[in-house]
Amino acid sequence: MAHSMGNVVAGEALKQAGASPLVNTYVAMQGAVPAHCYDASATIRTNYPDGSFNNTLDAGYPSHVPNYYASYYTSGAPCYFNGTAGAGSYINFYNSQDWALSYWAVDEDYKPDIASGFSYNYSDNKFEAGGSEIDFPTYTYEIFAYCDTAYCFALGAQADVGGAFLHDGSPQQTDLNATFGFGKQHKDHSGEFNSDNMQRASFWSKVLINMSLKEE
Amino acid sequence: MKKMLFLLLVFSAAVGEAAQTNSVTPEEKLRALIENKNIQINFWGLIVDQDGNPLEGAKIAGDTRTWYVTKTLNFDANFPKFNAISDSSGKFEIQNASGDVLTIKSLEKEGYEPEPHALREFGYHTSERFSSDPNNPVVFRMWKTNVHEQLIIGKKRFHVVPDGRLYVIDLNQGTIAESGSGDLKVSINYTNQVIRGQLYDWSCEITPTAGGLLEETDPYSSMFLAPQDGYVSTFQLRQQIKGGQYSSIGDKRFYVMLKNGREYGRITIDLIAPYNDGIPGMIEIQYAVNPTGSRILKP
Repeated sequence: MAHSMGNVVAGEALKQAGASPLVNTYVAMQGAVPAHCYDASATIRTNYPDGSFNNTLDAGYPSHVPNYYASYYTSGAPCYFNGTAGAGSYINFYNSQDWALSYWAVDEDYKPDIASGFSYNYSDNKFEAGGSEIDFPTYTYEIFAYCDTAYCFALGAQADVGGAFLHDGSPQQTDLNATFGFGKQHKDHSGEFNSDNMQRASFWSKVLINMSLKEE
Repeated sequence: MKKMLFLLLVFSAAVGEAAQTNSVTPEEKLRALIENKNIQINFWGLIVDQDGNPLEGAKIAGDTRTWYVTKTLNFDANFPKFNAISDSSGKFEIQNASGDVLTIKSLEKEGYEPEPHALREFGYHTSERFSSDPNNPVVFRMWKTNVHEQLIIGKKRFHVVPDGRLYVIDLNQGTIAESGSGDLKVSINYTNQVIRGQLYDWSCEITPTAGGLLEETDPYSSMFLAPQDGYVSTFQLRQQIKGGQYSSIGDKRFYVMLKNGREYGRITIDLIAPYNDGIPGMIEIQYAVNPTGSRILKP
């Protein structure tokens, strides 16, 4: 089970596990990782009221920084976590209204992080750090963390994510808002930890059952 | 509103021009990104009573999440409130609010209470992509406070052997058996000899012994009123899973018609196999049955 940005680490560990599952079940809770990492067809985010992705803010946008999450890292390649098999089952616990994952989207629009010395050279389609070129796959983590904008919503704010979360054609997921009342405020991003047993017993019961850990 | 739109257009044009000359300041960019998260929210709702009749004079209260840039050039949100009252046709509307999420926080009318799931959130500029339609308002149901049914309610987890054998669940008693009478026949069929990674058939079935099932797919439904018709005789799932994986149907919600229509109820059921090394299969079920024959399932 991973929460928020912990899903960056957990997802990578499960990817690196190769074909041998490390764990029975991976529950991604409010995952702060691009949905496109798992499903290149996940909904494109908009950052403008007319429903478009704003091309005037110098944020990463489709005509500029490539979407390497959905296609890693050559044109036409599958998404970054394509084929990940480090867990027997992948389950997405998401909340479309999550506060922190709304922040996450704005952070994405701030890439490349110019203030930290990262940039994207549009003329030759190269990322740079401190004026030096950085390329995949050697600098994957740096590029994903500081340079490459995700045009999608975070995994933990997106319903119906496919890829590893599909099981026989159906997404394995729990809507935290509809099912457990996780809301739109800051506290709800960590609602499972900040609340009390009276409020969250049913939530944790479901997690344990999903993990095959609760017997009676 | 017109003034705000005008300013937005001017601002957008200015930012667009600046971007072409690479002179968008960090503050301009932040303000544009944050302000663009807030869109104009219009919402149309309809309040009905337990029988579906429009309910006039219901008081609706809620708020929206509105993002703003702080003095320290960070961003935060506030939650401006709104109020409305349903008209003679039960309708109400919220116009020209701003933000990305609208929440209905309370519905009040003397002598009535809202269904629990009626108090909910609608994400406009989120992955939910909610949009409201005046010709198809969101329906909120309120019940007379004196409507309460004596329901048989329970929550059980049963260990089962998922080899296709039939189990009979008695919802009145909260028991499971491999024979005898009951309300639901349930089976899971999966092999107990697997090689990791190979594909195996996995199937399950839920069948009321004398009645039917009707799946509820709206997660916000409180399921307080069982429909009159639309029931099917059985639910089946057939799939293949890899050895080493478990599978389940997820939490499926059904209305159930039992005893040839002499009882109605609702269930949330999950069938899981394999469960873990010690438990080959598991049935988890929550249920509420009205033994009087009424379709009302409000406790």
